Amino acid sequence: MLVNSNNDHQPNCEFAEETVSYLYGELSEPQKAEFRTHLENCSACAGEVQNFASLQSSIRKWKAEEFDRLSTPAIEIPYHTAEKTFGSFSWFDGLWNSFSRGFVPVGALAALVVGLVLGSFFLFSSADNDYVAGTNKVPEVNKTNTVNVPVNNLKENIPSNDLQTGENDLVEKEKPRLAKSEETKSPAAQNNSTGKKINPVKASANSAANRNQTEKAVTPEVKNPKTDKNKNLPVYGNVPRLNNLPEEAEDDDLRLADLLDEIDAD
Amino acid sequence: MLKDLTDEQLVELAVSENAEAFGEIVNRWERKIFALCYGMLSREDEARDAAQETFISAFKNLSGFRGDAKVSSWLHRIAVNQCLTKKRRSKTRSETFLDEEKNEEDKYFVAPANQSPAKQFEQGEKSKRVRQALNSLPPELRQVIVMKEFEEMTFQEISDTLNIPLSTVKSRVYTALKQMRMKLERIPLEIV
Repeated sequence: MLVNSNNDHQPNCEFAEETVSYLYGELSEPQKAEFRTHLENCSACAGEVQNFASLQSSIRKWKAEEFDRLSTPAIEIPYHTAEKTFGSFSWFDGLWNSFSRGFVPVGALAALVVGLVLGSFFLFSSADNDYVAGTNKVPEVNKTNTVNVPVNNLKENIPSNDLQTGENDLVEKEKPRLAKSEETKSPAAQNNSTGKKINPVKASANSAANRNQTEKAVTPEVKNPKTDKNKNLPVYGNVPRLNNLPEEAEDDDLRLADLLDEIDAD
Repeated sequence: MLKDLTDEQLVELAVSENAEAFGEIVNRWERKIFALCYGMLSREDEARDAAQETFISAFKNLSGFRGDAKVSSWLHRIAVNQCLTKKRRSKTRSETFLDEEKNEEDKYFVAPANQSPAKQFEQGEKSKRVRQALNSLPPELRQVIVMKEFEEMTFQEISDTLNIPLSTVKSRVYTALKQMRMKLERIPLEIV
């Protein structure tokens, strides 16, 4: 039953806000009891509650008639399009977030990394070029531990019979290199090839000598500045001397001399 | 089991591993979001479109969900925006409020068969006016009434979803009911 109400005044009651809570049954039992007691003494709130209850009933009837009978829509989610890009979406989104949050630090870091890589590349490239140009820089060690030994000039200091008989493994092994101007083998390999044992200390000296000779390796375009200090050393043509390191040159003399003595002894 | 996960966990799962985990969120909220859209728009076809667009928009922006709000709040916000957008487009197409109501009434109202014609007419008129009164409310007041009556949410749930104080929710419901009552009382109904 609906009754036309002329009660338009707003209750200035402290319980006004609790009207809706009471209407929708969201008061606790003690609060509900207290509000009911208040309604008995406050006509404004009582009128509000009555009007609101009537309106609430109308709204619920309308909902029941027009909405409750409607079926829930079948929501279609485009999963298939998400699958194509979802994997990339997450990393892309992360990248975009990084970009949007701080392009400067990310860009700076990327530039730094690129600069380091390029700098390293050019640095190593220039190192090789500098050696070739004769700047006395130590070249890279050949990965295969091969040594370019100018063998032909060794004949001056090595007894020829050794060369002929091949007793000297070092020389024998170097013979093919005479033609090829290439490799030397490790002392162990030399030992195994002929059965002749080489003193490991002297073998290391041998390899060291080879290394030193490597340092003085011949390249056609390299010029060999001869100095007084080095005049006793065998001349290998255009071999750069380590003029800046006289002590090493002296060590070279000693080692080479020891090697030659050993060869003579054998 | 997806059913054991919270809404926020489902979103996280959908973003990181399995997009179809979002389907569980759809199952949980599709009816309520549809109810919200219907209460806001009062038209079934527009409500269905708005609900569909709400979930598609939410799915597309899953990675943008920061987790600082509830998933329900996020979905409601998207749904209300979709409804307001549709309302604006309806107005720009020069569809009048009365025309909408007339079409809505003719299309959808079905009175119970056991009612007398007079009763049916009365009920039809009442429903029409209730719908008119609801549509006349500002969006923020209409939303809380719809969430209370259509989604059947508690005041605390509305407060959490809209991220507004509980007292504000109660105040808005009180104000909305008063405005609706005043609009309905313009044409008094007196039954003896």
